[in-house]
Parts: sequence; structure tokens; C-alpha cells
Amino acid sequence: MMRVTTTSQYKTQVDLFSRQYEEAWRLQASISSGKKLQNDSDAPEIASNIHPLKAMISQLATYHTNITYALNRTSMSDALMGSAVDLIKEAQGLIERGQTDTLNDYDRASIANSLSFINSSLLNIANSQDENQEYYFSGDFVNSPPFIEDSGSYLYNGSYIPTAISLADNYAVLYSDVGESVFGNIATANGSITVFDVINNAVAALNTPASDNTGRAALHSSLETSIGQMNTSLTNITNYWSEIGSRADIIQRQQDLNENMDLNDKMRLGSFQDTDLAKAIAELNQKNTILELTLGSYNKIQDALSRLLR
Amino acid sequence: MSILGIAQSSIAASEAAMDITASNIANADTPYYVRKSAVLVATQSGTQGSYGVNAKDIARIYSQTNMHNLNVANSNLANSTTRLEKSRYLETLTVNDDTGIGRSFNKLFASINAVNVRPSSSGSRQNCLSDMNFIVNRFNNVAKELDAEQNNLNQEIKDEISLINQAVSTLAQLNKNINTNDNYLLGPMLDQQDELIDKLSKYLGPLTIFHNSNNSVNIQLSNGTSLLDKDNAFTLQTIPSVSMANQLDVTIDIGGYSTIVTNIISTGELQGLLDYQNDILMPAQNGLNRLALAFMQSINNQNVLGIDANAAPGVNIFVDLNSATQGFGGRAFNYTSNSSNTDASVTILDATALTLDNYTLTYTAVAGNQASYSITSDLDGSELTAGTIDTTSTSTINTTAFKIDISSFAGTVTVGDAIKIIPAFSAAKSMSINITDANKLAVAQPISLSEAQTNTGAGLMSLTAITNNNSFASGALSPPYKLVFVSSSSFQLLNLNDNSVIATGAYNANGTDIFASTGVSTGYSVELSGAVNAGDAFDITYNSQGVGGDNRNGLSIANLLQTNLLDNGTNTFSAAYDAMAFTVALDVHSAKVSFETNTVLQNQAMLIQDQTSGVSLPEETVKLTKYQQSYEASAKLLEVSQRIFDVLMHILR
Repeated sequence: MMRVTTTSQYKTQVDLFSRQYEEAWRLQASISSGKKLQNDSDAPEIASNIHPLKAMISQLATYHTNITYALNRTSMSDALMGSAVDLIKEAQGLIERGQTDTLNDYDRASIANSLSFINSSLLNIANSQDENQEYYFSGDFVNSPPFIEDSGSYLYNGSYIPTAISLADNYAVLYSDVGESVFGNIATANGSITVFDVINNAVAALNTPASDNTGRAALHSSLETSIGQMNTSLTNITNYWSEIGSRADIIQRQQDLNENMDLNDKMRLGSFQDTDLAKAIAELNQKNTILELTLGSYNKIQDALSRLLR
Repeated sequence: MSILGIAQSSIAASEAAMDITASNIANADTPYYVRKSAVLVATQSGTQGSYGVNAKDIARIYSQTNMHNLNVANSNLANSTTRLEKSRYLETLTVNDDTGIGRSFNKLFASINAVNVRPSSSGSRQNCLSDMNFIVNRFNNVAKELDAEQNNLNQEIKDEISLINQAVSTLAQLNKNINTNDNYLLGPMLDQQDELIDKLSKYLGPLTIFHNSNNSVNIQLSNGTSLLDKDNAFTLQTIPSVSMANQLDVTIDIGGYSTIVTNIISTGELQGLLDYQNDILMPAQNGLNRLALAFMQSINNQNVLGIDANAAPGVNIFVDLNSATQGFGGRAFNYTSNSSNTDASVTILDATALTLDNYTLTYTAVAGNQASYSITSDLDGSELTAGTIDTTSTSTINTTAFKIDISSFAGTVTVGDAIKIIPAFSAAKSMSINITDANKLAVAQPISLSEAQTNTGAGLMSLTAITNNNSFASGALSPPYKLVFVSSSSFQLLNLNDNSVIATGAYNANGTDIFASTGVSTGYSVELSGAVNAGDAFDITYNSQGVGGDNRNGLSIANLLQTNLLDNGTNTFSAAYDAMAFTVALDVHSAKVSFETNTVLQNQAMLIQDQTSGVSLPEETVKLTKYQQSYEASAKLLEVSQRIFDVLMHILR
């Protein structure tokens, strides 16, 4: 027969009780904190999943901010290009009208006046600034206006280096573009000129009196060149406009992708770290019952012993 | 007339037995109390065939094997209890919560990105700089707490040693007194001996115990080193570790000679403390220090390749990680047991290549001026590198992650002399920020490229790499360049300042590295591609105008936080911290598992020991009743004997 000694009997009871109590306490802590694990060491295999997910979610939040900036920027550029195209087309119409032989010098001067007005509107668009007074089309020279007038011609004053922002790991989109390729890049025999020069040249041609045939021939030839150059400019601007469109589309898709990942990561994080309250409360109730029973049986044994000694 | 004698002996025996039972009951809860039992022997009492009883002896119900097993179980339990308690505390220090170091790298990534969105925003810059400061603070604080933990640990080891010495000297005293045959005196002394031996086992692990015939004990450590020999107690002491001044070694003093016994102890509480120090605390410190170095190095090196908001060349954001005056030194420690001292300093070459290891440089052979050395890993003993150095001159030992510069020697280099190399020593504590002005975040690149408006070709330039800041460290590009094409396939490289021709180069429209083509060394690379015409020109200038918007270097800095730079390209900074904290969590977990296992084993050993030697109150109660009845019956016998005597006296009268 096994001798059950008083000390070990007592110790067994106490151990049992404190074990049950600790488990109940753990459940209680996880219910009140809402977290399954109070320390990583409670379940390292779960903890090892939690931290990378938290890092990912934090990263995605950063990219989310960048995506918002990038989308704002593209929708702003999109609106600017819409206006720019309208202005170019209007200018083209005016230049074509300037070729009409029935016009007199005054009529042409009036067209030239309208063109000048269009040119300054277009220049305003090219030199647009964001809410921080930084230029959209100067590349990384965000504090320098991209186009400036220098003794009658317009020069690209910005940088040839566009800026970019990250939307995902190793994936960035352009942010501040190089204005030269949007409003400039119109090839001539003497290098490239800007659309402002083109319009300016047309204005100069229209303002030149053309009363005789020679004059008219010179005007025609000059405006013909302007029309060709305006077409090039329109192509440049519409190309850029459609680039902005596809850029916005890519950003949008990246946003959808990031949001899906974010949702997914958050769900996974929740499943790893959050307490299943219903389950935990049920377990705690059960644990309480067991605790009471353990304590009850301990009291009974003590009772029996003291009756024996009486 | 034996009935009187029988009654007397029976009363005395019952009384003695009741005494023993009473002490058993009284000591039911006394630790290390071994239950006693009366040994009753029948004694011839006068006439043939009549026997009295004698409480001849007190039996101590005891099993040496059971007690030894309990000693072993207790020492294992003490070992895992210590490891669990200590590592649990470490887990609170390295806690990986939302404000921990791991997540603060993620936060920095967000704030660098904000700077990149708008490099000229001083608010974003300020925010980014405070995130950098926050990281520095976290590293400093955790490192200080870990240092304090080492100090606590040393104190605990010292306390433990004095408890051990106390127990051994009490046992020595006991050895003197225990030489007695009086069982009434012997019992408590044996109980005390059990208790002290069990305590020693808890501290030092199971010991070799020799039980002498006079009940005294001799005690030896597992290698035969004597701890107690008759009444000679040998004292344990602590000395600063031979290899690490901030750690302790345990020595034993025998006949005036002090021997290091740190490695002889195999389990128990003391070993639990040492295991914790070597297997958990030190790797955590190394992990933290290495991460600090790799982070500082990467961010510094990238910032230096950029230019700041004022167009000045980037500087170190954190203090130079090899600057001895800034606290980044003391990475090499001569063993105190050496016959020579080597003046060695360790310089980090590539902190991202550092492992969690420490190293030991040992001199393996000396011939004249030539000393051969071997540098081995402390984790697995594998050799990192080996070679021979001249002890009369300076030398440098190179490894991928660090180099060791040896400048001089004191004393005679002797085989066996050693130097502990801890490359990342104290880095997290010494880490500090080097800039206070957020404008010094160098998110712009130093080079601006532009093309002449008169170009008729379609040539496009791009900056492909910046490898050092040699060409712009002065705060301007020296020199700025102009490329002028003399034909579609050849160009001149001019100094833009004075238009002097520096070199000529051949051009291939599929892509030409300008400086490689001209043989000019600049510290950066520019590639040109696309068809060009004679007369086309390109400028390479200092990007002072671009600092408002250029974020190219900032993107590279942000990228550092997303790149797996550590652990052979498997971990980012934040993942490396997570991994370190996870290792601690795993240590806690495994300590918990072994604690639980050892608790079960200890319970079993205790139960077995208790089943033999422990007191059962119901059992003693029954015995008490039995002896009481026997006493009463004996008293009756005495009464009967009295009556018989009275009758006899009456007859005789």
C-alpha cells in the first residue's frame, strides 16, 4: 500500500489549486486585455507571426499616405493637362484663322492679342504650384519656376531629374515631372523650343504688317511652321496627359492591392493576437467551477483528518 | 515476580513510543524531518516464558537513494527556476511591443517617406529626426538595462557563493559534532545534514557525497575537487572573469591555491545564473549591439552620399561607430591570465556582416619575433582566421566584418595568451545622434544633369551610381563637367568652370559610361544613351538647386529600412530586432517547459522520499491510539500486580 504522507498530500492539493488558479488568471488577463498572449513567450510560434504582420501593416500605412499624395498629384496634373489641351486647340484655331487672306492687319493684331492671352494662361499652367508653393513641372527644382522668359524667348529653367515616391517595396511612381518634355521638346533646326516660343513666334508673325504678297507669303510660311510645331506640342502634351492617366490607373490598382493586403494582414493579425472572447469566457467559467471543486475536495479531506484527531 | 517487571517495561516502552509518535506529529510539516519509529524488543523477564518489552532504539526511516534522487531533482528544478525567472525578466526588458525598437524602425520608415514626399518640409524633417532620436533612446535604455542586469547577476552570483560557503562551513561544524551514538541527538543532526546537502545540491548541482561510518560526510565537486573534507571547508570565491572584466569566475581556495571551477559546475542555481548569462543575456546584448552598429553604419553611409536641405554634403547622422572618443572602443580584452598584453583595437568594416558571435584570439606558437595566432568563434569553436604576426612591429588582421590593428606588445608573447574580441561591444549604449538640425538629412543627390536646349539629338543622361563623396565633399562639384560631342560617336569632356578639355571619349548610343569612357575617376557614374549629333552638349553640375525637391537619396535611405541587410540577407533592421526578442521569448518558453518537467520530476522524487520518510498524520494518530491503549493496559497490569501483592501481604500478616 502506498503511504500518503501529510506533507505530500497537502502539497499535491496546493499545486493542483495554484495550477488551476494560474490558468484562470491567464484567461482573465487575456479577456481584459483582449490579447491572446500576454508575453511572446506564452506561445512563441504565434508571436513569431505577429511581429512581421505588424511591420507589414505599418509599411502599408506609409504607402497608403504616399498613394494619397500620388493620386492627388495625378488628378491635379490631369486637370491641368485638360486645360492645357483646350488652350492649345484654341491657339491652333486662332493661328489657322490668322492664315485667312481676307483678314487685315487689325484683325491679325486682334488674333495676336488673343494668342498672347492664351500663351500667358498656358504659361500659368506650366508654372503651376502646389499648396506648398512648389512647382509641378520643375522636376526636383521644386522651388524654381520651370519656364522663364529670357530676352523674348521662354527657357526651361527646371531640372531634368523628376522626383518619385514609393507606393510599395521597390516600386515608385514619378511625382514632380520634367516640364521640358511636356511644354518643350519641339525640335527646330536650332535645337528645341517651348510651346510658349511657338505661340510667341505666331504672335510676332501676326503682328507683322502683311499688306503685300511678299508679306502674306512670309506670314503663311511662318504660321505654317507654327501650326506644325503646335501639332508637335499637342502630341507632347496629350502623350503626357495619357501617361498621367495610366499613372493614375497604376496607382489606383496599387491602392486596391495594398488595401487588400492590409485587410488580409489585419485579419491574420487579429486571428493571431485577439482573444476569442466567447470561448475565453466559457473557459473561464469552467475553470471557476473546477477551482471550486478542487477547493471543496481539499476542505473535505481536512475535515476528515480533523474528525480523526478529535 | 515478573508481572510487575513486565508492566513496568511496558509502561516505559509505551511512553517512549508515544514520545516518538508525538514528535512525528509535531514535525509533520518540518522540512527534511525524517520520521522515527520506536523499535520494540521483547525482553526475558524473570521466569521462563515471560517477556517484558524494551524501546530499544529509534529507527530513522530513511533511504539514501531516495534522498540522492531528491537532491538531483531539486538541483535541476533550481536550475530551470533560475533560468525561467531571469529570462522572464529579460523578456520584459526586450519587450517587443508597439513602442519597442522593432516597430520604431517601421515608424522611421514612415517619417522618411514623408520627407521624401516633400523634402523642403521642415516639419517632416523634424519628425524624421525625432524618430531617429527615439530609436537612439530606445537602444540606449535597453542597453543600460541589460548592463544593469549583468550587474544584478554578478551580485546574485556573489550572494549565492556566500550561501554555499555558509552551508559548507555548517556541514563542517556538523561533521565535528555528529560523532555520537546517542540516537536521540543523532536524528536531528542527520536531518540537518540532509537539509544542508540538499541546499548545496540546489546551488551547485548534485555533488559527490561520501558518508563516513561516524555519520560525517565528505563532499566533492564532480571533478573530484574537495569542497568538504572532515571538518575542513574549502571556500568558494568570485573573481572578475579572466576573459571578461564585467563577468565573474568562481574559484575554490585549496591550500592557498585558487582554482577556477566555473566550468565544473553542471547544474543547479549557480549554473542557472551562468547559463542565463552566457546563453541568453550575452547573445541578447550582442544582438542589440550589432543591430545598433549595422543601423548606424547603413544610415550614415547613405546620408554621406547625399546633400542636405542647404546643399551641403551629407554628414553622419549618428556618431562614427569606430570613434573611440565617442565610446566605440574597448572591443578587445587581454585575458588577465596572459603573460603578455597585446595593444589591439577593433575597427568595424562592415557591421551588416557581424554575427551574434564573439571571438577569441589565441597565440598558438611563438618563434622569435613571429607569433602565430588563431581566431576562433566562441559559439562553436570554429576558426575564423589564422596567421602569423611580427611582435616587433604593427600589424593588421582583416576579416569581412572587422579588422584588428595591433600596435604594440607588453611583456613576452607566450603560447596560450589570448584576447577576447567582442566586435559590437557596448555599441547600443554608446549609440548617439550626430546632428541636431533636421536640415542635415541629405535626401537629395549631389549631381544634376542637364542638356543644352540647342541639342538636336536625342541623347539622354542618367546618374547610375554614387560610390563616394570625393567629388563633392567640398560643398561643390569639383569640377563640374560639360560634354561636347565632336561627332555622333565621340565627345570631349570639359571642365565647366573654365571650358578646359579634360579628356576625350568614345560614344556608343546603346549606353556609355561617360567616366569609364574617358578614364576619369569621379566617385559617381553617369550614363548617356540615344543618338546624338555633333555639337550636342550636356552639363554635369552640383545639384544645389534640386535640394528643395530631390528625394533620390532619401528613397535610398528609406529603402535601407526595407532591405534584408542582416543575417546573410535574411532580415531587415526591424526583423532582426524581432528575431532577437523572439530568441528571448523562446528562451523563456524553453525554460518554462524544462521548469514544468523538472517540477514534475521533483514532485515525484519528493513523493518517493516522502513515502518512506515523511509523516502521515492518520498513521501517527492510529499509532498514538495504539500506544495509549497499550499504556493503559500496562497500567492495569500494574494494578493487578499491586492487588496480588496486597493479597500476599494479607496472607503473611
